[in-house]
Amino acid sequence: MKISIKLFAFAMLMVVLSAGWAFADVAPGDVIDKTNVQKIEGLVPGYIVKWVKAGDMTMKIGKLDYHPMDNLQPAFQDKSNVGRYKIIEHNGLMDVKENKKHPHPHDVKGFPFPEVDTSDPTAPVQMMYNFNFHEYGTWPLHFNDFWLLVSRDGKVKTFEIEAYRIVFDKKATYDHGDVSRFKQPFNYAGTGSLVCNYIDPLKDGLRFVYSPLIRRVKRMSHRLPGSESNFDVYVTPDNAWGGGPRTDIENGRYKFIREQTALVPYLGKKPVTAVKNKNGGYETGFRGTGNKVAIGFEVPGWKGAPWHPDGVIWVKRPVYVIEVTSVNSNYRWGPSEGWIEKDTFAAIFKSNTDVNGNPWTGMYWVRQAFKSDDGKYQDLHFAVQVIVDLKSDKGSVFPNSRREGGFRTVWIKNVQKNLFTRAGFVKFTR
Amino acid sequence: MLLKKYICAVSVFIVIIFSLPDVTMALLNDKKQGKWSLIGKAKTQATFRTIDTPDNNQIPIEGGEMISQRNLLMLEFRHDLGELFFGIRSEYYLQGRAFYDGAWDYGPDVFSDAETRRKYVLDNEHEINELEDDIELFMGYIDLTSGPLFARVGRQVISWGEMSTKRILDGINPLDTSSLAVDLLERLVPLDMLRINLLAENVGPFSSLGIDFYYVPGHLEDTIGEDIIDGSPVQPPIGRDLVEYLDDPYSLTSLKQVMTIFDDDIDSDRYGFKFGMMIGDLELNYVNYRTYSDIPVPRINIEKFEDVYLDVLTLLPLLTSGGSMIEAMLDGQKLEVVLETERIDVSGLSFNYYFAPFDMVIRGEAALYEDVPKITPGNVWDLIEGVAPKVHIDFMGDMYDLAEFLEHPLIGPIIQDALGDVRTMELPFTVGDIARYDVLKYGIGFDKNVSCFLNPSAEFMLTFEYVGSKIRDYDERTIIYPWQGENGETLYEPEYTHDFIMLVRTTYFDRQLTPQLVVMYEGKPNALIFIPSLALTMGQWDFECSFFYTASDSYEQEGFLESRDEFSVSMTYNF
Repeated sequence: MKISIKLFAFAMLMVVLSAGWAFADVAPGDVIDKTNVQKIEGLVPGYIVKWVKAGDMTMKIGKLDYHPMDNLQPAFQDKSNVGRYKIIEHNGLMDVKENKKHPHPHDVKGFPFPEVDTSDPTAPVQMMYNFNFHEYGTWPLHFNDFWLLVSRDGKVKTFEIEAYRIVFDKKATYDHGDVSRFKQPFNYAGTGSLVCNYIDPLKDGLRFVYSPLIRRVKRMSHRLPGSESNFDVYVTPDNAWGGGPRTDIENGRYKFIREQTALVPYLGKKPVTAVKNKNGGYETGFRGTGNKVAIGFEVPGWKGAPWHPDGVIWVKRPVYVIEVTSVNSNYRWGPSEGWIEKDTFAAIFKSNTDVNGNPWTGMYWVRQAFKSDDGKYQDLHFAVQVIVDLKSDKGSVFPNSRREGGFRTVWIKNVQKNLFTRAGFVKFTR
Repeated sequence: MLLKKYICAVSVFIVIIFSLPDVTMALLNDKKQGKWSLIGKAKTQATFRTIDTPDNNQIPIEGGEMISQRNLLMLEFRHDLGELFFGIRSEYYLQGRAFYDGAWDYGPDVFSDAETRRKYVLDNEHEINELEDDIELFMGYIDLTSGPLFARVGRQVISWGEMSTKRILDGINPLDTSSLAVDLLERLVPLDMLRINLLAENVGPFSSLGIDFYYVPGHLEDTIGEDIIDGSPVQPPIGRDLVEYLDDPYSLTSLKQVMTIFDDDIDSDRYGFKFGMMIGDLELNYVNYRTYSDIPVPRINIEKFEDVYLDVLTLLPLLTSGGSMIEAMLDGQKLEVVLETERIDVSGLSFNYYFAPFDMVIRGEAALYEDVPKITPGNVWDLIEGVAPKVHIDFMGDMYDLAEFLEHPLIGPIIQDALGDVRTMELPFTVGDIARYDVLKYGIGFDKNVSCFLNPSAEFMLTFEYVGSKIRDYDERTIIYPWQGENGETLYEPEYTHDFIMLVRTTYFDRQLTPQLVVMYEGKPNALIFIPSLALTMGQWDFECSFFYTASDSYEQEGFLESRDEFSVSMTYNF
């Protein structure tokens, strides 16, 4: 009798456990909403689960017709860099083979750490470098992006920004640079910035800002406090990836948490065709491809928070989860948690807390693949980023160039390199 | 009519704002290519004096009265033309503005009522109607870029220098001082000019080298500022004219009636260059340019005065009637007063440096302004002496010029007695040559972001600046300000000035609320200026309120702001 009771209890436990396992899993074709939200628990960060439970978000589970790794640029599929680089003091990078600290971006082909050993305490920093070098691999870049600040009732503030990015030649003073200017709304239009950085975390970069109000180019500290939102929306370097301070790299303190399977958002099952333009660059934005993403507030019959994009499919992918803090006393965030796609090292989720550890922002990146017909260009980059201010309940959406009037040209030819100098920046002022 | 104008202005404002959709975008834009867009803003603003103005101000304003109600519409169109020919990239930019200051129509009587203004000898309704509103192309230029060359042709602004508040090297475009309600975007008045930059990057130790040259053709461009309405609240305390002062033929108010004021001819070319370099974390610039002085010197143009022939019999009755001897001597002619603006050469250096150990930016600049015209003290007797050779008086069959006549042993003392104390009566005009001085200006400052317990979510941006100046070859009490002291006394420019400026700003609620405090302290005489402000951004809307407060123990330098504390509110819609 005692045995049968034990057997019964064990059987019941197995039933419950198996039921639990069954719930916490999804399959292509599933639509996750508040009625079956338990299926995604553990597969996404807690704030995503909350949004689904609250009816703010519906997730369509899908399957890609391609493998993300296969759509990266060939250099980033290559594993020959394994063992070549290592993380040194101050979160710096060293080329062990060449015995050279802080190698120039042109010398690092593909991911410096194609395979990350998660038992290595520097693993999250390796992921950061992988992310950065993939980003440099897309440059030179010219884009016209849109940022939207969306309130709960669907009111939208639109920001339009034009920018160039390059990796400098090796003889140049800096390693990589950005110039940008706002085109709308009016109160920000004309505001521009010139930013040049080094790979070496301890070398201070350059930041100039042009303010149309004072009609003057003004020197600024190249280090940003990180947590502050720019122009109402959370467009900061630190929110452009899943890790910590990007303009203050040496002050980031990283911790590897775990590796797991997660639901990763993608836009479209197939790669979008990147169109080669007459100047030899490739168009991946609305101009050239007609590539556009609709945001909830403009979709008829939309159910959920108005800042989430339409057409997203969520696919199961392996990810790393890391945690990062900054030891800079000016940093206005507490610990942040980032989810990094395991093989492509792309940022998928990130949550920030305030200095007291209270949840502040939760975000996710939707990714999209591109492939040109001539087979010379292919890549995977983020299509839409959504950042939700958990305190004020409003969303910042970055559909980037996937809006009417937007464009993104990668590998542009004949870049005006002098635009990235203090003297040349005058062209971007008015 | 006035009501119609008011309603019209407000209606246009409201219609523009509420006809826009919730999903706010540019009014018009190139949806396919993203190459052009039309955007703009509508702003309405009101400023109120918080204290009564003293008698040395041109018009009386009571605390609580509205001194400006400016409505502004700005539209800008930008079009990237891409590559035109021979690899030359091009883009053009147009910015138009329309404004209307309703205070001149529905503000206090001293602004809006012609009868009231006549009490202060201000009969300028026509001027008000002309200057209270305008519609114009504010800026408009085309950019051409090819390799290391960049050219911008058209109506534009160039601002060199490093200081945030006081201008040192920033003297190319004139300041719009026609109203304190002028928007920041309008502060620098654009000029028609050609600007050419030659650039180079990574040359030796220099990450950046550039020569920036500009040229303003004098025969095309004569702007040296915006016209100010006579009797505007923005004018410094230059003294008050009352209609009853006209009864005294030797009062300054009466003297002004025999003068006609003209602007100077601005027909000389203006040009300059900046040679800039970046070496390491240091940016260094050498600047040299020719411009016009920004404070005009009113000079009585004696040369234009034509010879006058008088019979002594026309003067004698005035001795008994108390009439104006000066008016009689001028024989109906008006004296021409020219607001002289002289060409001056400016040269100087500026630098900025990122000081990594303290994560702060240090900025500095210094400039030498050569031959700056200054107002020197004069009196009515100077004026009489000036015109004397051209006033010929027939006395008992002999012709005397005025100078000789005044020294005549019989009649001279009588006439001089009739002129009373004009020998000592100060005149705010220069007669004869304009005195010129070299002025050295210099400033240093820093910017630093700091954490503070008052705001756990954002940093405080702290700016500190010191700006000073020195007049070379200075003699005490030789240069006067164009405004008066509290009791109408003449004020003299000091040899040195010292200003300390502090600006603190932070943001709350995700940058939506921005409190800011500007404090300026001027040493000798003591003047302290506080400008607290609060800006709120909500969607496409910007709201702002600010208070301007000055405490000073003298009217010298910034101290003249003592009598013009004010409170300002504005709301702006951006589209």
